Amino acid sequence: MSERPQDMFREEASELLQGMEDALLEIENTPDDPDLINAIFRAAHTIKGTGGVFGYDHVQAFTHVAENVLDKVRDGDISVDSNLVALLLKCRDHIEQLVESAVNDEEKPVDDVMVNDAELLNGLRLYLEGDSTASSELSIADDPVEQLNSARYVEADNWHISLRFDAEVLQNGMDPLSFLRYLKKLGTLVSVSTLYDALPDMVDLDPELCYLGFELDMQTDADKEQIEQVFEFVAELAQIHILPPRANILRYAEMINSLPDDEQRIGEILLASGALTQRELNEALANQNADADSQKSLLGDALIEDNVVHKEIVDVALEKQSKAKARKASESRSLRVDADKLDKLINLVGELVISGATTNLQAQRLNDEQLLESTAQMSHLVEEIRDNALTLRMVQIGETFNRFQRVVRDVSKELGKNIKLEISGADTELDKTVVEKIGDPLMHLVRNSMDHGIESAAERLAAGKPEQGVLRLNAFHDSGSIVIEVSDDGKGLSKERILAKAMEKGLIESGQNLTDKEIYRLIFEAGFSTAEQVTSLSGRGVGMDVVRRNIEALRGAVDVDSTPGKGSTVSIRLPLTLAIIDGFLVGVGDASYVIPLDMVIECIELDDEDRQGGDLGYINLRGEILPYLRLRDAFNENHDYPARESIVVVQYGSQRAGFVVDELLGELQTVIKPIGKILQGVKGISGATILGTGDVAVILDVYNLVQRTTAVMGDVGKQAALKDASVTLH
Amino acid sequence: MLNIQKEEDGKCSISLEGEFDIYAAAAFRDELMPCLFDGTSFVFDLAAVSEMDTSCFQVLMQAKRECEKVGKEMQMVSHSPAMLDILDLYNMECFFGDPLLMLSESDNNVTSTNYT
Amino acid sequence: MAKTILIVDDSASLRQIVAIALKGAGYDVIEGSDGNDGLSKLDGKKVNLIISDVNMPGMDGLTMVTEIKKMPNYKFTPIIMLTTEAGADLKAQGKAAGVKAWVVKPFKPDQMLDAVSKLIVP
Repeated sequence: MSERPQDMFREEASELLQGMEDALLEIENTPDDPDLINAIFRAAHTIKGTGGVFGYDHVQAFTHVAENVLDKVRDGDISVDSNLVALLLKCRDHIEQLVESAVNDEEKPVDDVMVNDAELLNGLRLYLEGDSTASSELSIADDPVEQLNSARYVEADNWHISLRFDAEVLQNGMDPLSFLRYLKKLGTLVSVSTLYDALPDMVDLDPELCYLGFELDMQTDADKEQIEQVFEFVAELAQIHILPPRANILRYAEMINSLPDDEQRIGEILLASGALTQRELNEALANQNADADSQKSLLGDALIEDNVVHKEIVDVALEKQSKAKARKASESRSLRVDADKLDKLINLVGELVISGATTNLQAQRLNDEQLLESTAQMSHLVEEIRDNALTLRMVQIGETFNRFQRVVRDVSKELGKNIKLEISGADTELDKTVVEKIGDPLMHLVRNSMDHGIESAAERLAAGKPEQGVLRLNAFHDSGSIVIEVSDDGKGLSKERILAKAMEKGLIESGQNLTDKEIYRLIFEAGFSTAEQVTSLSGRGVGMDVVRRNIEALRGAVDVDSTPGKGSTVSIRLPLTLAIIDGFLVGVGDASYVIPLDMVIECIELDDEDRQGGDLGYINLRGEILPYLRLRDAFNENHDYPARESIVVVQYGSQRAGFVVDELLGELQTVIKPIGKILQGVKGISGATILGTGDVAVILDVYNLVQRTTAVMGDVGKQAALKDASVTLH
Repeated sequence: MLNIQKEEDGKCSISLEGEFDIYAAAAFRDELMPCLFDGTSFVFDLAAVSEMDTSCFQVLMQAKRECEKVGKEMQMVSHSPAMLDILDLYNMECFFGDPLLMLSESDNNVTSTNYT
Repeated sequence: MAKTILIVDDSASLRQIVAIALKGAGYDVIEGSDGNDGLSKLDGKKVNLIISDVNMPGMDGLTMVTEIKKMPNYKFTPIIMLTTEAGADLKAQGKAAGVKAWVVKPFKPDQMLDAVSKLIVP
């Protein structure tokens, strides 16, 4: 699937803007970090350049102004403060909108965007105007000559043409006068300085020789090549330097940046951008060869020294050159691949896993030792391929986390709270498909924590806490899952309020005896919301139950813990991948079920005494109560009880439970197939898979079943179990 | 063509007539030079200059420089259009510092700081 | 006084086209059909610019230029050489003869006018 160049631009721009945002958020802490400033500048700069090439005028016009401001920041003329950061963040969002609108081929962004455009531009221009005097004073102190020159160029925005004629030019019938005259046809000669220092005393003066030189400033729409053409006949009889207006520096810089990223010589880059003409390049190269021993060994330096091109342009070209080199270097290490292609590959690997299992089965049936050996080897390889294929799609969660820097910043401003985001475990990897789907639930949790969890500064101070609240995002791997935690150091959940609310909503009965955890978990029930005050963030009727549903749809689970006055932690537990699992196959009646292997702790035989417990019960497992569930009852398998039953002990998070099954069929690795519509409503099923035999097996939703097991086993059972346990212990 | 009239006190009136191009330049310098050394002050009448190119203009420039160096007065009067044209193009009006009389056919807006 | 241009080319039609353009721009034009004819057309007259072809029957352009450079009245007169191929050899010879300005044939009359105006104004 090939991308439109426009889409590639959008992608590029969004990456750059993300980098810009990250840098902007970080820069408030370290305002002088040149890397950060550069990153911000580069985003505006590159988007402007590329946008210009695509003819996205609105993008180009806006980013141009932003770039000018950022350039001044880079030069240290404007200092970074929170106002500027706020403005630039808005600009970043605006650029994103402009790019979006441009890429979608809208002739003009919608009115709202354009109003925004004007406002932001005004904001930006304040920085540009306010600073002009300060900056010129600064450079006067630095370098008076440079200042004089640049001031003249900047003010007049002129081309500067420097002419030194050879003595014999007049004898060749060429008069400098005629070239000046001709130049006036191309534009306006703003100023002419005739240099006559070389005129000798009258006694020595040969009027047939030319002693004059000229420094010209002119305004023209002509390009460098056209201006150079004026002097085509006199090229061999004069030294001609044509220096473009300062304003053109940006244009050349853009041109340079828009050149294809081939590795090029510096001269070629400058030539292609129009900053350097072929003649100038040839001359400079000839000079370079001539004084190979001298210091002018670098073409770029020589060109600047000879006033052929501005230093800034050479710098841009050099940057381009090194970028091209760097890209080439990094290209050889990493490769962009369409996510669809990866999905296809992973699908195929899944099929391979299944047919590998079939082969294994056949081999076992034939009981051919050699065949068994080779299939074993193949299974091993397939396993490796599967693992490798899955890592291809693994991405670090850091990028997702970092997006919340902005959210936390914006939301805390909105709420008038002072909240800091701390991120840990950013390098924890998980499947890209999971990452894509986790953004919304996370957003809700983060906003919820900020809105309801963390108190206002005044409340915090009164409670003896630091004024600044802390929101933490953490990720880590835990027994085949990834756990993402959103925690705050706020006031924690109020049990009383939750209970009152739950009662009011009819979620629980009065007198029901619930543990703290169970109470907290009520917030995930549908229709639950404790906010006393409806703010713009929460209280939109979308509650935590939506978060729970979203996460459960990913075969994950959400849990909450809280300490009054200290804060709360919401943990999301997700499978690392949605494609393939290592499973443990069990049989109940005729059907096969797969339990994700990493959740299986052990398997034990259910003895006759324990079998009396009915559908639901508990056993005493080495002094601990283990509630269990009969899968045959859970899934209405109405076959006769087998002679023996086994119990598979599973753990999900901190909870343990046992599943009673007829048969233990062993481990298998299996590909998760989405379940059909009919089964989608069935609780306790998260997917399906095809076995080597061709039979379908259901993958159990362990979380759901564990919840069911532990929840239904009410106080009675629990107390009985405790008694039992204590007896056993005695 | 050069016409030099020298008074007793060394004041010279020099009138230029015709084409002052590279073919005339060497003669122009050769004729002018002795006068420049002898004379005390100079008035160049440029009314009849039909053409003035860089070669001859350089001679006038150097003449002005040498006069200034030794404190002799050099004045140019009655500039012809050709003369005004080169003064304007080379932006040398201030160098010579002479009042310029702008002729109506001179299309260029010659800066005339010393206009009388 | 209008500037005078001598154009030397063996093609009468080319001379004519160029002459019409130049005259239209305010130059006076005299024509020569080859080197010898060109030299004879000079005849001590004031000529401000010479445009000449290289390959011509009779005296070729470069020989004519070499002759012209020897004549005190014309030695400083600018010369534009017309050439079909901007060959390096030819240019080197031309350089030796004192030619700095080249215009490649075919050219449009406007292009010639433009080239001329870089050297002299009417």
